[in-house]
Amino acid sequence: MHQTFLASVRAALDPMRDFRWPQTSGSRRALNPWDANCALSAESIDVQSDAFRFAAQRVAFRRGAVTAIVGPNGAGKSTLLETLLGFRRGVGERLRILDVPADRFMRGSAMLRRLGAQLQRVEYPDHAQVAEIVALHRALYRRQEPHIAAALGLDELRGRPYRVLSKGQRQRIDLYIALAHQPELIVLDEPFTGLDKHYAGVVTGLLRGRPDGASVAMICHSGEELAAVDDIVWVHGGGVRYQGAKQALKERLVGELRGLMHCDDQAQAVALHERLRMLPSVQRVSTPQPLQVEVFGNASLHADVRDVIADAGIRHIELAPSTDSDLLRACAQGKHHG
Amino acid sequence: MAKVFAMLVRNELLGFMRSRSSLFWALVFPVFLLTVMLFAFGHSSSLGQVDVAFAGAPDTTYAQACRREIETKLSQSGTVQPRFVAAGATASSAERLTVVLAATDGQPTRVRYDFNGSLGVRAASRIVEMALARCTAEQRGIHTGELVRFENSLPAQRPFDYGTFFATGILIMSFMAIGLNSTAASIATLRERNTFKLYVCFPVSRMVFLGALIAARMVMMALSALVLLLVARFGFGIALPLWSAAALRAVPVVLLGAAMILSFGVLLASRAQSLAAAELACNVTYYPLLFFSDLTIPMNGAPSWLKDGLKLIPTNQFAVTLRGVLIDGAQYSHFAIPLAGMALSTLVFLLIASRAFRWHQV
Repeated sequence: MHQTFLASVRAALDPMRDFRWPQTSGSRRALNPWDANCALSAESIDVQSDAFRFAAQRVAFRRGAVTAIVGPNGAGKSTLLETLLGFRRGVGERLRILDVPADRFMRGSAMLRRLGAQLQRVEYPDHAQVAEIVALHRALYRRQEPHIAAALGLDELRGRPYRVLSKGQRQRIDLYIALAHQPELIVLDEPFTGLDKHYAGVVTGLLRGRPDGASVAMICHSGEELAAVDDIVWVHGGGVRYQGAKQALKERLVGELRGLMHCDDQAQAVALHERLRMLPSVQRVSTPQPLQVEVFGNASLHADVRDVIADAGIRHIELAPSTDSDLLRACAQGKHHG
Repeated sequence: MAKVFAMLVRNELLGFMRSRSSLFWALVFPVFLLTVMLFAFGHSSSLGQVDVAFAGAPDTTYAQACRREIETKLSQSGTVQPRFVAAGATASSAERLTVVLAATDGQPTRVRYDFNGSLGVRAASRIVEMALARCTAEQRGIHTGELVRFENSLPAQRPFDYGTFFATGILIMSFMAIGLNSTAASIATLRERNTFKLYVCFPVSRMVFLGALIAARMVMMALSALVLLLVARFGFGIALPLWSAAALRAVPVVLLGAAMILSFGVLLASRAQSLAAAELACNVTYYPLLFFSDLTIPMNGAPSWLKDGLKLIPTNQFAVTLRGVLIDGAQYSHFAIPLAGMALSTLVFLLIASRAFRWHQV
């Protein structure tokens, strides 16, 4: 709730103003990129190529937390992750991985054993067999937790060539390579892509059950992926819009409750939209589909909405708590909502 | 790291063995090509085997003398390899020459052959004509003696042998297929699929992955060479001195040549954005090198200005040095310049590749 009239006016004119960096959630202090409590950090990032530009200052991923990078397609999520890992030269200042300069970290064998990575659009050579990939992992990291192989159903894939595996099966192999040696830092680029519900739950469980102090940085696109997430880095409009606790961003963008109303005609939808915007409990109103009005707000939302729809003659309404999926949709839409 | 390197080399070799295409191009195609080339050109510098049959065979002094003269001249000729067969009712072939001897010198001897046949049978017909002229002169009491004495203007030069020429040339060709095309394609594919990007996150130097790829290809080259040379020596009877001091001296030349070709393959792949781009680069270089490196098409008849230019081509230097050391048994000092050229080429390729190499697309 906005505590002053002036703040309310500002919020009405520019709803996203409060969410620009630097921004933290609640009482947690902003992370210093030089802080040893950072799993990944950068003083500044500036990437330009053709028409794409991504720039960010003081990016920091909290150590020991699961941090999700979210945002619309093409916003720069993978660019951010790859820059933090030092894949792109000359575009980042003071990049650090687990409190070690990134270029030194990525060249040290002992350092790299602390890292587990699952990257997007990566394929092993056509001739590779799953058993060979697993054996190579064992030789590289000298450690493999058997429960991870069991959880990801590796035994059924072991004797097969990599090239005949389905997308989901390849994803399981890639996740195994990233997780099996229980690294301190796990970097995942859309880890749930291609996985069925069972294995999506398995991976969520593995992330929750990771060793104490292990950090996760992952790019997410679905609500299920956010279930195990502590922090969010919201990438939008060529930069980082938010860094901090997931719950705080969720409360600011989509509140506690959600309502979805189905209107009979456009005039009814427009009128309903205007009435809902004026409600004090409403944080956000949008039109996800023609003749649909979606509203997010605080704990009083449902009561307020019931009053409005009774007057408006709305016959079909869905009321529910706001979810992580709602948060992701709001992050993908950015300013363009309502 | 050694264990990881060995494992990676083993995985590459297993991949090679699992690929029928790779096995065909590395092991089968060189033998197939050697077979075809030997059938087309023969082993030695001769124009191949010609079947010679005598039909009619009148029982006169003249006919018998002419037949002896023809058989002697054909047998002594190094131009064709005659095989005297019975004059049967078999249909004439491109390699068959039938001589119908006349009873006396007042009648023409008929020489029957396919006018569109091979060079060998046409050359044999001319040898028969010259033999008949000599025989007729002898029969008329004109002693020809030694009318022509042939002298070798380059006695030090070994006789051209198609067998050794093709065996060594195809060996280098198979090295190019493995070291150039296969290497460049593998590296480009790994980059295109972002596999190198993942390797960067592994706790071992990415040079280990690249080194394993190259080492595996050296093993493939060795295997290809072994198969080809054994088939050439024991299958086709080509006079390759495989168990000699010359063969031992040839090993460093082969290793240097292999390293040169591999480094060139890495260079071609160093900036290729995709497999298609790498294949284009390979095709643009492979075929000109194939034709102009004196590998399967003898360039001894080329203009001198062209031959001088071809000496600068690294694969030509490889072919010349390998043949000189292995076939002629020459010392390294005779080939100091081409050896230096090969070594310099290898260093240049490696230097440029190391500067230009891109591990992943950005």
